[in-house]
Amino acid sequence: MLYVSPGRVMPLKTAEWAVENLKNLETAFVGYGIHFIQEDNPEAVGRAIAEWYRRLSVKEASVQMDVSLSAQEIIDTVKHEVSDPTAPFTLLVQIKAKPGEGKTVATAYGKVIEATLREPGCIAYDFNRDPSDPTRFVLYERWKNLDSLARHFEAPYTRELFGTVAPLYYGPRQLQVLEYAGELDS
Amino acid sequence: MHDWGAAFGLNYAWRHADNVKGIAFMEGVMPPTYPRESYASFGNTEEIFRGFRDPVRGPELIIEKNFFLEGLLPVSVMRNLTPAELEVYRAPFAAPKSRRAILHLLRDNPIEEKPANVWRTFEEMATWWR
Repeated sequence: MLYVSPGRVMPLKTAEWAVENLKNLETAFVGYGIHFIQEDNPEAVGRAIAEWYRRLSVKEASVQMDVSLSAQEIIDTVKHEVSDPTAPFTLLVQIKAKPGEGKTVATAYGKVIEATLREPGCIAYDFNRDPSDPTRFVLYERWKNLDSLARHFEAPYTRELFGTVAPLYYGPRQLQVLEYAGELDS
Repeated sequence: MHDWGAAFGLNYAWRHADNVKGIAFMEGVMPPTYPRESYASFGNTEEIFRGFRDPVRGPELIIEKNFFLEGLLPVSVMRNLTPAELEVYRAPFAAPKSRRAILHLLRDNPIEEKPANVWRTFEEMATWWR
């Protein structure tokens, strides 16, 4: 909520009430104005929205990944989304296999889990299946930094895995880049 | 988003929460300002807002006299809008019948439980947000 003094539809006292009573609300005071704030304080409005959007984007960035994305494109995406490429981050990957290919995909991922967990830059690598859908999987990966993920993609077993599963994906993978909201390991 | 635009934005966010990261709004016709229990809460603008819903005074004010652009707009900005700037606002509403849309939105502000469908939707959005 952008607000001004005195304001009209959302005057100062409304902004103060909203801060106390509404959830998921950020407020920004953008100067003096009445109702058409954009006419009195266009620069302040623009700055407040740009800053807010930047914070929103780094907190939880989500992108749609095409099956054809290369390892390098995934790295570029993560680099673009994380606020600090030298800090730990999480990848949440949702995978849908073509009908009848669930078992092949599960076996291929199963083969690389142990080796991946032994990588010094890997904090977590959990491969999960949907109990009600044999073609649906969720991969939870956590890496110490962006370089750790780059090294993982260079490993021979990862290259072999990508070669095996890429033709078996049904539609795009959904990849979500996340960061810890707390300070657990940073 | 601004004024009624904020209401449309909040409505989209409420119906498609999984497709929205957040909405930026100011001076919005939305909770917590609306829905409004009473006209009395408008203070010295109570009669103006009552007038919008009046079958005679509403069209006279907004459609004939273009009161929204000629009366309300200039006093709702602290600085003085230049004649050239005012022309930009007037341009889409040169024909009186085009101002029906303005009157319609002003009458849709949910006040004293009317219009019933808008009131209900605003109440549901307010409950969801709290």
